[in-house]
Amino acid sequence: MNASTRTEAQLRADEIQVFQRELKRLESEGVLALETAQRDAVQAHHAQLLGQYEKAWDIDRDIKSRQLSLGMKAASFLGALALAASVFFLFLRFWDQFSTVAQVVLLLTASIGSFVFTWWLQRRDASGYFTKLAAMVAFACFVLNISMLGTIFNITPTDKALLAWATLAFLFAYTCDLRLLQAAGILCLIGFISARTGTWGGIYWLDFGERPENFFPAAFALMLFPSFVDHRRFPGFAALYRIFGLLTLLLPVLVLANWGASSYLRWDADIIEGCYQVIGFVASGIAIYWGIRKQMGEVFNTGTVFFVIFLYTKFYDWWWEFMPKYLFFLILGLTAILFLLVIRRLRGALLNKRAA
Amino acid sequence: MMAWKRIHTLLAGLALIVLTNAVTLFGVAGNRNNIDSRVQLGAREVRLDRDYSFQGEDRSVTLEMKWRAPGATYSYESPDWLDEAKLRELGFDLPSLDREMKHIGWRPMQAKEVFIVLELNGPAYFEGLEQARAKVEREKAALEAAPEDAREQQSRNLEDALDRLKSEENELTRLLAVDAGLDDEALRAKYPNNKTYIMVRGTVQPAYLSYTDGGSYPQQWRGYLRITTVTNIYVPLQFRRVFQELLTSCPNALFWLPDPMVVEPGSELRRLMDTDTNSFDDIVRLQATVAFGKHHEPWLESLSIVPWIPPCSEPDCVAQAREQVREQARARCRR
Repeated sequence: MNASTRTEAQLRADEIQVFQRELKRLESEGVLALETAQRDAVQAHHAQLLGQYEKAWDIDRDIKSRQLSLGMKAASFLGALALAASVFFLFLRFWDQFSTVAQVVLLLTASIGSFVFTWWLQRRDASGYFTKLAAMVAFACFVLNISMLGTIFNITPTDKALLAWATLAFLFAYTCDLRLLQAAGILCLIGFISARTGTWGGIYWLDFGERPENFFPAAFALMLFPSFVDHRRFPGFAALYRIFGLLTLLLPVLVLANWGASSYLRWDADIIEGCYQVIGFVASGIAIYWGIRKQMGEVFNTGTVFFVIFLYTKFYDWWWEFMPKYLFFLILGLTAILFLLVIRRLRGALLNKRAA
Repeated sequence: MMAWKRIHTLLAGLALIVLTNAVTLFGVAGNRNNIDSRVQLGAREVRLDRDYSFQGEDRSVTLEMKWRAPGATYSYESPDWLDEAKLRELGFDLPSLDREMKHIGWRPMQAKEVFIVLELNGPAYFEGLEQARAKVEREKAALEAAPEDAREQQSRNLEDALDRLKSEENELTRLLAVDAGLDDEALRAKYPNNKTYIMVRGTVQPAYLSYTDGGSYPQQWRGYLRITTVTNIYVPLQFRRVFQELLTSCPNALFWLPDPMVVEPGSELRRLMDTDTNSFDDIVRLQATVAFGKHHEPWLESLSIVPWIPPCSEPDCVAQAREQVREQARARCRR
């Protein structure tokens, strides 16, 4: 069958449908004509493959079922959030009616029970939608488990809880092919690494957001991770790491480019802001180049968005106060057109290079 | 490398959940097996706090521990002892005020984790009380000596001083932050009395105070305290049961902890709560024994309610008033 996850199977099914459409077009234009035996063999092979995938992974075979799947994905996501919220409020509502021992037993039972249920459901749910719901509830139960133990026993808040939550989120993400939980795990990991960086810098861990540079180690770790760990079996995972990595780098740079007083550096605030503005332009430019070069659309898009944000921020700083507003927005529009022309030229150069 | 199978997922997940809970609960046991301090907090130091967050869905009750700096009213005020010298002792690298601050300008400095010493009903509190009394005497003397056109202002000053004295004597918490340090063992050696001195975790944040409008405060570095140890202590069911039994047996009793929003209109408790001179805290007064463990995390060991006593000044009136209030409550319950 050659597909170990639903995503892989769906990708293969999409490629088969594209192939079939292009083959029809080539035949109608007289470019290619397969012999009957060849056509029958290809069709039979594809039909068998799609049948196997549909049975094993409940994939979408055509546009109509894909549209329905999109609706199911949205419903699954909203349902997961709603169920997680329901568990949270259920605990809050009836919490004070239990003794301490009962509370601890309840928390542990909810965590373990929901995890085992998710594990059991995953084998029986080919589509993955119900598994996603169950996994979100299980993750919510574990988060509640640790945070409510902290409340009951008056434990001083610690960043180590973020590491435990991230671990469970990644376990669900990789075993159930759930990018939503991968994102949850990444957010917890960003929090943990940034808090640790802040602590090593001598500050209280909850104050790590006051120094945006604390986010840089997490950003580099996320961006480099897919380069060292093969994610071909998990389509979309590597892209998510890179997106979060770029956001974790460029958002703090944007903050520091406008508020130098929040930096660890003990220089004049204007100098710090100037340096980070340059870093912002260079970093987003490198992201654009890297995205084009390695054919990573998500890197290119994120780099482009931030390049434009940095550019427009500078325009605002230079011209907003004294320039007539119609002229200001005209310049923004012309800059966007110039940007499009540059990117188109880059694309053209890349295509020519490939053709050569 | 071994292929990852479904059973591995199950074992890994179960191990993670069990291990995380075990580490947490062992930490709690480790904290409670080594008591660092145990204090009796009175009605001025604690208040019951019902959390109305999440649209009122959170029904938990916590005991809020109130503390402040000596001479201050609120915990966010900077204590006098947390000056530039103390900040440098705590390891803050403060820029010199004259040259660097003019160059860099104001910018927030990072808070640092420290251990904070809280003193209960000790020398710092009595010193504050004496200062408040001395201020009243000074204002009285100033009023007597004040010319006609300054009497009104001086009279207001005396009134403020009297209010402050009344607050120090009757209302403000006697739990005061008196010291901070980086080594909890050294601090405990300095303050060995663990029935009066509590050690908690917290942070100190330096701030540069500069008044350029001709105010009376010079340019100076001051520190601000924040306690990170939980000070809203969870009240377990066995202590809440006391209030619930009273509520069930005698809804109009003055001894209960009701939700102020559901006290019956027309009841004696409602009347008292609506009177200007009485606050909810005056009516439901608490005494709590709170212990702090090895990790400086607290827990509640006992909780009792002290009935509200009407103000009186004659000898033995407190005992008599207490008995009167109890009798009134019993009479209401018998009806």
